[in-house]
Amino acid sequence: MSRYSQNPLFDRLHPLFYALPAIILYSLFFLLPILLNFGFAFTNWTVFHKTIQFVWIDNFKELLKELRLLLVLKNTLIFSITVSVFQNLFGFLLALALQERTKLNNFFRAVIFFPCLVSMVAWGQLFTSILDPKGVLNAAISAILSGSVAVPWLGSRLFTIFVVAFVNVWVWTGFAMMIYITSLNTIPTEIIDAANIDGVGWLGKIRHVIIPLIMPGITLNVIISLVGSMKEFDVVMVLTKGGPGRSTEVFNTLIYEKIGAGLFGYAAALNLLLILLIAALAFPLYSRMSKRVVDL
Amino acid sequence: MKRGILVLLALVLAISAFAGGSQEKSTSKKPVKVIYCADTMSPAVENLFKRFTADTGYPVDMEVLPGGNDYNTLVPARFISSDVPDLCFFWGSQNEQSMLNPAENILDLTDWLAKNVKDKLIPESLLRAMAYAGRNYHLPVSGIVVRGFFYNKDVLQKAGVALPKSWDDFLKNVAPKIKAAGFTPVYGMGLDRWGMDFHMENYVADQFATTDIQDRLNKGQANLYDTQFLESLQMIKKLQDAGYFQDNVMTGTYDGAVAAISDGTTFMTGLSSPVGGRIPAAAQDKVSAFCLSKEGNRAYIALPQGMFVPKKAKNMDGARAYLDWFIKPENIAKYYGELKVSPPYQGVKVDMNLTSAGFKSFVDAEPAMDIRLKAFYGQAGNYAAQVLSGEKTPEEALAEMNATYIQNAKAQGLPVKEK
Repeated sequence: MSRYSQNPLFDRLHPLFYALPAIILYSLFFLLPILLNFGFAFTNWTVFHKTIQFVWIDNFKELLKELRLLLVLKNTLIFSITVSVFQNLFGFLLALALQERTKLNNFFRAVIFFPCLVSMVAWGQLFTSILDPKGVLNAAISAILSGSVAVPWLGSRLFTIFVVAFVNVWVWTGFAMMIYITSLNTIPTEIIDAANIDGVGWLGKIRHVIIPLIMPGITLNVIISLVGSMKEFDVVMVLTKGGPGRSTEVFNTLIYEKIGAGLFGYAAALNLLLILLIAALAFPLYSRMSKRVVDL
Repeated sequence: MKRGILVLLALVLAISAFAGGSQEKSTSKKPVKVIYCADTMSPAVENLFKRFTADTGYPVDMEVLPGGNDYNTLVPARFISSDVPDLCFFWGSQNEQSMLNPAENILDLTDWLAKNVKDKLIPESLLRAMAYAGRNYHLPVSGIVVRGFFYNKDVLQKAGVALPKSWDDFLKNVAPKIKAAGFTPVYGMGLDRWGMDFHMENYVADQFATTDIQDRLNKGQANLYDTQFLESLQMIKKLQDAGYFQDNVMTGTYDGAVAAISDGTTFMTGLSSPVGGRIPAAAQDKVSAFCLSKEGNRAYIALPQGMFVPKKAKNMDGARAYLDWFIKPENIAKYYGELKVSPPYQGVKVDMNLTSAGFKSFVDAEPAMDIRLKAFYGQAGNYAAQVLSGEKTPEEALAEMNATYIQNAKAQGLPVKEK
């Protein structure tokens, strides 16, 4: 006799009912737009046409002739790799430093996490001022070096992409730190004690004990930072609008420009290409990293 | 005591009911939702809408969107969403209007304009020039926009030079003397980029005004390689190589340009007439404007920017009320009196600011150029910025500009010349 009713089918399905509202909302606001995007990518939808017609792969043929495609791909990869590496590195180191629950650590955790809560647009406006040649950063460097420094942080086609990436890292490191702290707290203290008894050094503990045991947290953080940074738009738009020249132009800024030109089907095709690229990077990476998870 | 309190309470309730009733009456009109561009917002525009509300009772819900290239992207995107305004400020040239797809999205004002403003307020010739595919879709709310260069008169005087008569004259004669006198010849908007548009579009003004190149482009008999855009990019490179732009040109912004031209450290920067109102009061009598084309000082004008009414406007009554109210002569006079730019309306005398007056002298001197291309080549300043940063050669930048032009033309079903 079933616990809830005499209908076994109801018993099996009833957990789904609790998830149904979330499934409906997710489908409406995430899945449906993605599916529609898939469809529009194969149409000639522009602001200039009254009707929308299927043109199959014409948009993709046009895409292959896009002179800026390789450039935005290169910039997007540079940006996302820089963000993924440094966001995780700093997040991990901060988590190690602030793992213990003390009042001081709690205070620093809150301070470091705070930037995630504020809109990237607001941080972008602030950093535009800080990174101006006459801004606070150059003033501070000038004071330290006792000389006049006017580094064009947002005006170099060689390194501005890295500067923009580091602004993104600065904002989101706190988020990575919190996930790492949670992961570190799942390691049984006996294992750390055993490593100490065996005379394992600090670096050895991190490499051979801690990292293998928090691999799920590392995988989560790396995938989130990679996927999130490949879709980056707001920090680039606020800081540089893709400049100087087009040296910080990323996929989403190109898509934005094509939408502005009224080429909606073409923009959808670019977006589809971006989705496929993210999937091509994220799934193999997840698969590889998942294999390194250690079960106790 | 109890009775007294009850009477007092009844009185308060009665007064509230009446007050509530009269408030209901005064706020019965739905707000008119307006989109405006940050670059062209000014106290004159704010006061205009305040007067509109005071006179008609229609509250205004103003949304100011970022300017430059962002505005050209955000507004067309809004038209395909459900969040359509009742009134939308936008640019008036042919290729800019094409971005709104007026036949699909915008209320046709041709008959209304013919009945209310033609010949009485706006010359027939201007209405014809403002038309898109033969129909009028907007009511002018700016002056005749001249896109050229603001310059600081003090710098000109201290360097002991006259205004350049051509780009070659500027490169070989004027800029070296300005630089030798310790001033920056040109402030380039390397980061904001739209100010670099004017370097390119002014350069080609003679060709665009005096030859049939625009017709040939529209008919697919020419492409951008047949224009002087390549030379304009090469000129930018020459200026950059000679050190005539400011240090850190790639961090140049619109605000930086206004400051540089106002504080007397820079000779000239690419700006347009509506910006005249943004020059600080202290510098209003020092900053004037001029035009500089390849071989002369031909003006590049853009048709007046205007208010468009989307077909899907939710408050069509409010939008129409604005149009009817705006064209009253006293409202036009007050508005342009505050704006201080050359109005497109007849019979309106305005005490123009120095930059508008400066531009007007060039507009009056010889027939100005206006861009009548049906397809858009993207923001010209983007290509200029790529050359300025050294990312691309002028030839590579033009290749990208031409590719964008052809892509846009094909999307509209226009004939193109591929190579």
